[in-house]
Amino acid sequence: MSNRGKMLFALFMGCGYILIGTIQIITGILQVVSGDTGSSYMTAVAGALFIPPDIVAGMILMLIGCVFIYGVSEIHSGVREGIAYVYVGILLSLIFAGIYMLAATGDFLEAHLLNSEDYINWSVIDALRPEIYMGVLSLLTYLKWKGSFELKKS
Amino acid sequence: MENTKIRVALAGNPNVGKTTLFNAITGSRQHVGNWPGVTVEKKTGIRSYRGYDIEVTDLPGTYSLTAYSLDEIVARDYIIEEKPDIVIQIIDASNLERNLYLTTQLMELETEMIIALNMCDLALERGDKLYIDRMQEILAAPIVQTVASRDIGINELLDRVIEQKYNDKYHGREIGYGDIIESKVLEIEKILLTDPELSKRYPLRWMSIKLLEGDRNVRTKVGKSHVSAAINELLASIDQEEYEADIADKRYVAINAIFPQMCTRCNVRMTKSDMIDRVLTNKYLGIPIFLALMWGAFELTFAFATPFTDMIERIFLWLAVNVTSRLEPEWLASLIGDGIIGGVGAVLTFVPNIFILFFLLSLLEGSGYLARAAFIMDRLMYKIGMHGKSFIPLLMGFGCNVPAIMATRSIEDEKDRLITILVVPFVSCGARLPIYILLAGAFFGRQAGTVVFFMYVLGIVVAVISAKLLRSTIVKGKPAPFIMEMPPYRVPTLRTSIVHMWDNGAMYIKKAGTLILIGVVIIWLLASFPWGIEYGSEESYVGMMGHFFAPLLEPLGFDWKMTVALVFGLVAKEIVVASMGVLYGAGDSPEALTASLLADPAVTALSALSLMVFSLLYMPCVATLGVIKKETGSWKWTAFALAYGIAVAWIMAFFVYQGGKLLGY
Ligand SMILES: Nc1nc2c(ncn2[C@@H]2O[C@H](COP(=O)(O)OP(=O)(O)OP(=O)(O)O)[C@@H](O)[C@H]2O)c(=O)[nH]1
Ligand SMILES: [Mg+2]
Repeated sequence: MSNRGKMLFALFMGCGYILIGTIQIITGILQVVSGDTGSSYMTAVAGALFIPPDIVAGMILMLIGCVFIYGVSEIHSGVREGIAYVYVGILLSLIFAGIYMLAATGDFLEAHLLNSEDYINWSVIDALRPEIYMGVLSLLTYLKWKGSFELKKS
Repeated sequence: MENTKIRVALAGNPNVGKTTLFNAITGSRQHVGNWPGVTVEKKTGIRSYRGYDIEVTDLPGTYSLTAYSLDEIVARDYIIEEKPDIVIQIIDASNLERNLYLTTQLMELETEMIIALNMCDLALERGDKLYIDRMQEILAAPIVQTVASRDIGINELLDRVIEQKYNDKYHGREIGYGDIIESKVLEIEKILLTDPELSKRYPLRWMSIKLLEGDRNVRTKVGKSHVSAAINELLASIDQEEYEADIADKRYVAINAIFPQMCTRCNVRMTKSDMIDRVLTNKYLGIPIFLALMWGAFELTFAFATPFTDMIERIFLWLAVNVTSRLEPEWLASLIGDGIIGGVGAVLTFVPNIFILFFLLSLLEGSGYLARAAFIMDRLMYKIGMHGKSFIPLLMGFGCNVPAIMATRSIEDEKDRLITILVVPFVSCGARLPIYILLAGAFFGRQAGTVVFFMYVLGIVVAVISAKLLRSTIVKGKPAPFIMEMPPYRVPTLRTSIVHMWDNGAMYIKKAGTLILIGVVIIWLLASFPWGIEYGSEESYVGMMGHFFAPLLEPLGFDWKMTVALVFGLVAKEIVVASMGVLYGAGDSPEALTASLLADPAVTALSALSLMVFSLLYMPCVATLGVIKKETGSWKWTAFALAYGIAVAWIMAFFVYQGGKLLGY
């Protein structure tokens, strides 16, 4: 029953992405409205999960979450091709992890090669964001299931 | 001894790899893209091979040899008028059935033909079986299997070309169209034979069939001959539409008969491509995913380029400080420091962004995703009054508007084409990117990528709304219906992407060293005179010019320096950044352009945003205007494009600036 495993994984990833995306959007809005994120309960959670306030990035996390959840609902209602959503969800998650890894490389070069003033306090921890750690989860799962995504047409 | 020359034409359906093969044979670097309709003009190149000069011509892709659109006429006329020694038809092996339709028509042209069965890798990967020997027999033409994107089969193909040159007896096959049609074909052939001029130049059987199909292009060819009256009489006596449909039918019947003998399709697996498609064409998720990926591309363009742009900026700053302090006389130091380093340097700073963006766009293009996006948007576009095929020129506009406007040649309907030509300039080209990067980077910090993304979206939205407006006012009518063909997903080749990136980057750099340099010197001169004034002050000629135009642009939040930059930007949009470099850099101690912009009280985040919007939309650059004139053949439409662009830009920037002020920014 490998589809069941995939469904559970997609459920977990979907909820995770949507949750993180929501937090990111809310803190993003807070920042725009009040200028800073203050020290609310929300920002404490965001800080603990390395979520920077950013409305658009949050929307994208929610979108990836929706792709996973769409897959779950299809598989759940018996459509085997719902696997496609899990596959694409993983791809998207990898693409955005890649984007932020490259962005972090840029920051790293700023801090250590150019010694820019704005980056004096930059450390590798600052580069960590949900796109990256969620991407690592996706990567591990993908490597494990690599061969099993091709489907016989019904 | 002179090499023997062999003239070869590459024909085939769109998107089968003709240009890739052309590049592989001749070593050139013509544009290759994973969507139909990339090549619209024929291109020629030469390859010396085993003592022969093989002259290869890459033709636009066509599904058939009717003459409905400009690119089809280009391809067909080349084959029948210029009579190449050999025509190579490139067939997409993974799509054999559809490609055969063109084969049946090429055979009627009675030219020596070779078939290159390209994309064999894809067919084999999918598990199809191809029976090459049988295929050779049926089509009566040599067949070579190739994978053009990996240079496989090229030499064998060239060997066949040389062999075929001496194997000169034409022995192609033809399709029988049934007694009724065939008897008419014979009748027409007999009439045509009485004109030796025609019968020497064109294959008569082909001509007769085309006449029965009602081909206008062929009719004009016959029109000048003394047989035309007899032909017209004969054609008037038959129901042409019925014949046309019948002939097409017979071709399909023939294909259905021969196809199963050539190939067995393996079609049981849902491939990764199918899976991706299922999601990306999803009703709800398709468009958001497209937007998300584009956003990612801009985010990356920004974030990854920053250290490199910083590095270049520091180099120019260092140059400005060190070179100019040692230069005598003072005017020369100012020309080099304030003018050239300030202006051209400002433009060159953004080379890394240009490179990255073009690399990413090329990946999206090569993977087939951009064309899929067109498919997702097709229905939406139709409702808006735009032809589905218009989306491809719009996408090509991201690079440069000039080739994008030329790409509209694949649109058959004149009205559809005109509308597309008029709205393409709103699509943000590479030259506008530096303006956004400079201003967004200075005023919007971490959100810069998002701001740039929204500029691109705004460009597309304005283009689409303008199309709707034009449709319902000046160019009335419904768009011609159209079924978009979806190119398959392919892993984009690194080579193509790098070439694409390099060509666009090099063009940008070259422009900086020529056109922009000249512009910068002119602006510097105007900023330094009349004699005795302070450089770049309001008393200088640019100052006067700026103040002259300023009242027009003041409601948009622009000071006189921005005004000057925009006026010079009429020539090429990179000059907007260059002239800001020349004008804002002016001061006692040179500092980075970003810093001087931030320090200038006349420039706020809001006016920067308004400037970005205005630069995006206002008047196409001179080169684009030139190509609009050429393609529409009308000064009226060219003037319209110019006036309309400026009006839209002014209105949009006005709303941004005044609206922003109302909101308290
Ligand atoms: N897998 C594979 N891909 C190929 C092969 N040949 C070409 N391609 C890809 O097919 C796509 C289309 O190639 P082009 O050379 O632009 O096609 P074209 O026939 O010139 O297209 P038009 O100019 O639009 O008529 C590109 O993405 C190429 O990288 C091949 O043999 N195998
Ligand atoms: Mg081509």
